Amino acid sequence: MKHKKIISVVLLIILSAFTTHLFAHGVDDSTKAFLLGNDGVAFVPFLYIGAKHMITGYDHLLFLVGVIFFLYRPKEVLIYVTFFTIGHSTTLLLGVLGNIAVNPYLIDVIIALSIVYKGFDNLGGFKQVFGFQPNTKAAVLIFGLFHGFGLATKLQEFEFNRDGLLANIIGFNVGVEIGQFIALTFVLILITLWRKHSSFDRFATLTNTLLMAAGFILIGYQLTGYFTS
Amino acid sequence: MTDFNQPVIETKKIVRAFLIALAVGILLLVIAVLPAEYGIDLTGAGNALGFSKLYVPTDTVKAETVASAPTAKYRILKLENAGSEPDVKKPKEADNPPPAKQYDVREDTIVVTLPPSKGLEYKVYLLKYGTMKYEWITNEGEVFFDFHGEVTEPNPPKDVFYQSHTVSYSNNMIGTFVSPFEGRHGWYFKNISQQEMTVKIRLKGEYRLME
Repeated sequence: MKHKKIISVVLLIILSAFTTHLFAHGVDDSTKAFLLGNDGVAFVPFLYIGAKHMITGYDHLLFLVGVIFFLYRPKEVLIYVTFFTIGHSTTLLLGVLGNIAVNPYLIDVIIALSIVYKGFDNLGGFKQVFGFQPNTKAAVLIFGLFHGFGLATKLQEFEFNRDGLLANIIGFNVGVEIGQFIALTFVLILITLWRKHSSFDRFATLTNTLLMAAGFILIGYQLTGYFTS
Repeated sequence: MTDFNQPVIETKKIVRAFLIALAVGILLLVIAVLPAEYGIDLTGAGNALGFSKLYVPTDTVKAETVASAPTAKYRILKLENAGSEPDVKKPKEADNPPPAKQYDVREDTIVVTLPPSKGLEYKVYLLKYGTMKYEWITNEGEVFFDFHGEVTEPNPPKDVFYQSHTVSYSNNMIGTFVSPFEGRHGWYFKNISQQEMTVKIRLKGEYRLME
């Protein structure tokens, strides 16, 4: 039991190292400088930006925590994450290639809403309160589509050179998946460890309540951004 | 759903969890996030608890960006940049004796508008040893300027001789000028920004305006 605690602590420290530079959908200044100065194909840099964006984007991560919270079998995790990936990759590619501009604040509001939705869903809210259970896979896919628009609008904001666009977007997308994979690995290990403790059941409701609270904060934050900008 | 292993919770508890989440969310948003991120402090709690201190207005960020830009934007000025090229000969009229009488003292205020990234000249005419006080200020930001003078000569060559009195970057400058030779003296202002700028010039002294 003791070594598991040590592992948990180590993982927490590693995770918190990422949190020092969290910025939901933003891209930091040095990345921005690169994006604006770049022309032509730059697959690896875009891959890196995508991965970094995913690992440091707390709204994507909160949603994923919600999605895998009650998934015990690796196969299920894989299925749900695949739905999420299909969703966000589709709109990321379509959004950037089709030059579809969506207000980033409103997209972020929907992404925040997806966190509340998942927290509520995890509590069994739809079944218990409304008497029906929306298809969870479809929900992950649909919210994945919105997450992808979020990725697309942020990348479009920089109006970087469109030479080698397709290769760069694919690089970014692959990076997003790598980042998601890394982040998921940490989250999965932590949740799996936690499940073995009795505290998991005791705090499951609290955790999903906090997830909803975080979602509400993000909704308010993004809505305020939308109305003040 | 078979995929999920979530425990069954009473409806009352779910609703309560939802409402608690909403309340906690709104509370944190109002007392911490809005004051810190947008400077919007609805309750005064942001100020009282110190969250408001985290707020950095966008304007300040812009001002800092401008302030740190000069090193890149301003080229280093060297002795060789002052006046006309070294091979341009000084005309003999530059050494003419001063007149017995200077122009009457007058006063003017002139506003020059500089389009983005463009330069303009404003000059007045002074006799040798004519004196004037000057002041100029931009509406916003710094300009490159070359305060210089040209000798009046009957047939000026293509590469005309001119002397730079002061060349620098500034948003404001004052001084007293004694004309070293009869001719046109004034400023070349170059707008180094992307916005239109105005320079307000005030003059007082022994000069006449040019056409």
